Amino acid sequence: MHQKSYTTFKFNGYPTDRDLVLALSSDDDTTRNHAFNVLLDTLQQPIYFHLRRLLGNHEDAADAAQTTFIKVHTSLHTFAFKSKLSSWIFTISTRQGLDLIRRRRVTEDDFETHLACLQSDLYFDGDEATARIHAAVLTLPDKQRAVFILKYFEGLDYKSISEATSTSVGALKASYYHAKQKIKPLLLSNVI
Amino acid sequence: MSYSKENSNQKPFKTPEGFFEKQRSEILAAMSENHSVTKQRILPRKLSRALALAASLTAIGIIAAVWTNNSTEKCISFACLLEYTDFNDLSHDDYETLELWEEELIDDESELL
Repeated sequence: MHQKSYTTFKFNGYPTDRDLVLALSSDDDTTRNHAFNVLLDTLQQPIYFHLRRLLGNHEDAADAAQTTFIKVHTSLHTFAFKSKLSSWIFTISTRQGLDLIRRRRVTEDDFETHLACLQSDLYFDGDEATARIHAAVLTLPDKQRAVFILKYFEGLDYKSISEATSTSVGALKASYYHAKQKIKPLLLSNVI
Repeated sequence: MSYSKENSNQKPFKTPEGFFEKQRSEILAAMSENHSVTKQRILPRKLSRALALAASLTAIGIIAAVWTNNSTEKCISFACLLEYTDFNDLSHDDYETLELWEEELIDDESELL
């Protein structure tokens, strides 16, 4: 990595990943804070809402999002520019979310329990159909859930999801197909 | 992948008032704290890694030396000694020692009988 002085650094437009990473690792507090603010402007909300879909509630999503950004800062030296910085951060957040699901899960909640929780959630503002799809997603096994959210809600391609979940593209396609098959009857059960 | 506040697809989820601003200040505070701690720890960490590496190499060397020596020291029979000793490495003196040892063993056995 080339050395560059960032003591009076200001981004002109949106920075490249390399410039952003250099500024984030700067010893100068102002430069580092400025770079982190740029990063948060772009990714704080997408990461939070991604985790909210994955974890189902505000408290867990807030915890996981905060831990994600702190991990980004502490592990920045491991970022090898093999993917986009945003993909790498999504990877960290997805793993953080999956880790939280594994640590906190005591019993598997069923669809009706998730639906009731969402409908009584102060911070959920969806109609019946929206609540059903989000409740259905929460019944999926953790990795399948992450794949479905990244593909269906975030619109990521299989290659990026492959990086985020450390799974082959073939396995991801199968996982996404099975997730859809599991969700479908739960959505249709309301119509019948 | 590019995101902006407008296309972050937050619906149907809501957050408490001022949540993102509060979280941002908490992240920045934690980051500043981490940065100073990390800077303080860089040198000791490098030093401790070097010491750990040196200690590991020394330990491996000692274990290898002990293991190599033990292969013959553990022998309590002539057959064992023969098995673990490469005859090409034996000097004339070594042969003499072996013969003496064999004679002593024969003597011991005769005394027992």
